Amino acid sequence: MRLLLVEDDPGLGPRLQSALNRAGYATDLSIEGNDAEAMGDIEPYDLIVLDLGLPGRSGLEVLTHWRQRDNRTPVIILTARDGWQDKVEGFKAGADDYLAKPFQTEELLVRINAVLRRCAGLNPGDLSYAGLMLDESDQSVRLESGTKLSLTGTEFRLLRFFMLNPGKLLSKTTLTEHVYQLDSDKDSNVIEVYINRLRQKLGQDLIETRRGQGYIFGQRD
Amino acid sequence: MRSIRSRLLIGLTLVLALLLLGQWLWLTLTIDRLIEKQLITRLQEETESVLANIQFDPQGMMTVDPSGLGSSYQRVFSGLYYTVKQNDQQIYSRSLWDSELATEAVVSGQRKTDYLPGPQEQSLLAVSAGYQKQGRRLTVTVAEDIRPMQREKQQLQWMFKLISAVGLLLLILLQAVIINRALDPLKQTRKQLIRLSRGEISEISEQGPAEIQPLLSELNRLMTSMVAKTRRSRQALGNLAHRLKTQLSLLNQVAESDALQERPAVRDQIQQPAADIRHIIDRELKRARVAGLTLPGKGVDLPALVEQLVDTIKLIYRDKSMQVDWQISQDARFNGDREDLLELLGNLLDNAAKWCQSQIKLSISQEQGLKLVVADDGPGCDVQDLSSLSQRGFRADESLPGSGLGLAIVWDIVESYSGKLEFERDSVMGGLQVTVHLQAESLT
Repeated sequence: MRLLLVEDDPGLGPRLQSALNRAGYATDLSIEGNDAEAMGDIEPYDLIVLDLGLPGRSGLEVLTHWRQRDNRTPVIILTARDGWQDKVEGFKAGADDYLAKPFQTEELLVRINAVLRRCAGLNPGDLSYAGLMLDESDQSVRLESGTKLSLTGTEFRLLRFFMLNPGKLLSKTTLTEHVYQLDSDKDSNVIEVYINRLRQKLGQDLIETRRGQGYIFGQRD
Repeated sequence: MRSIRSRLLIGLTLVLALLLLGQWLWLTLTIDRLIEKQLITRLQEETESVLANIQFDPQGMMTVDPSGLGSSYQRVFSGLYYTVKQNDQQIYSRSLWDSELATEAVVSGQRKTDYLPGPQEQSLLAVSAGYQKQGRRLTVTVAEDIRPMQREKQQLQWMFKLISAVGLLLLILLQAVIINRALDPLKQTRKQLIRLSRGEISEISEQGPAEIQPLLSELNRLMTSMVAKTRRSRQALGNLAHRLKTQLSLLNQVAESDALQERPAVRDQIQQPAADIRHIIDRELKRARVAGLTLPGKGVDLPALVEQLVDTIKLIYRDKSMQVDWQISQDARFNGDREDLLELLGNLLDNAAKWCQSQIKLSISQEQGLKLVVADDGPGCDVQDLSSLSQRGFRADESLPGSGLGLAIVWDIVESYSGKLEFERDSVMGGLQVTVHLQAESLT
């Protein structure tokens, strides 16, 4: 899952970014309104966490522009302005959720999860598919048999992306884009390695290879 | 205090009435005196004519030659009479027929005026003058009936009274029109003030009479500066909240860092005060942002506001399938600050959404001010507890439904609008029903 975090505070931004990375989200950080707007339009983010009080261009304006250009990436607004006036404006501009500062990382992760799941058309709660249950708190997966397997960071991110997009044809590029953050070394061949590791852990049939096209997780819709 | 119009009207009417009364008295008296004076002069001249026509026979007896005098002296009871007295002899004019005039002798060269009863109930004005003719002392009296004159005078007075009354009425009417026109700018200003309080206009036109024009300018200036001040202070409070809360978020991040994972006690020692600070900031800054009844309202579009708010609430609680029914009566108006109302309703609806099972009802109506009722079908709570909480002034206590920060803010807003906040158990849905009554008008 790729995330864009837009937060101008020099202390909070990087800390939150690393916390999100640790939670298994490939997170890019933007500290300025105009930059953030451009990044949100160019990169295929799965979710954006947007602070409203930004230098350059206000978060509300950025969000309005995205929605005007039909950029439907889910957005969670993060703000200290928690009056109802701001909430109404935020949701009217097209926000998917609203989190008031100060918050604890756990709260933000719960919200991110809920929004991602809702946008994937899944029920809120634990992420499960075909007998697999993903445990996001300790980045592990429980098999149908009850065995609990722990996953590495990339494996976890890859599996979560698959489970949020079951039955869809996903190219190697798409997978790379949604699993790695902007500044990391992106060699799409590495994806193959991780897919093989997942197959070893979860069984060969779960991920189907379409030669030259990509991969399908679970049953095709 | 009575209105300027009625004070002017009563004052001017009194002055006019006094003036007319004075004029009437003066005119009546003057006419009386003038007529009397003229009549006396004429009668005196008549005595002289009578005197000129007196002749004496050799015995010294006198006679009056009527041919030299007016015919009225010959006609019986004509209203004009004379009598001449010389020692024991007294001659009466023919017009007196067989009645007499009671006269007294007047020293020659003297004159005397009397009101005497005449024949046939006539009222006579008599002038007696003393003369000496051919060495004889005579008293000549001429009298005239003044009743026809009095009748005419009375007619004149009645006419004058009538004209005065009609004149007074016309003047009062005219004056009322003038006062009305003179006070018209004030009426316009009053209308504007009412429109201002309804939020239909944001400024009063300063086109007024010179007397109140400075007042209007000052009012506009005050309003503009108050609006600017409120906006500035809200902005400043918003910025303060933003920066403080961002720093608190950072503090939370530090508390969650790996270095402190092994030392939960230290982590708690950071997180607990951070949570407390957040609470204090939320409560106090939100309280400070409430504008209250200080500003003339901007005429809040209630249906639009409620619709937006309900949409937002539904989005916030979209994982909960709930129905929000709302109705706003046609005449419902809110003249206060839009943000205050949004905050008030937002917190009430949020509270209802948090505790309801599937249904929320909101109704807004005009009942001597704005009445808002929010009810839900949740478990409800001890109404007594909430009511006592509201009297103590709401300490944030998250253990009771709705008694947390949200209702504390609601309480602050209601208080700043001199309103009332009531809690009941909803008779139909069984949940909590909150009724808010806000004051009627900010400016009238």
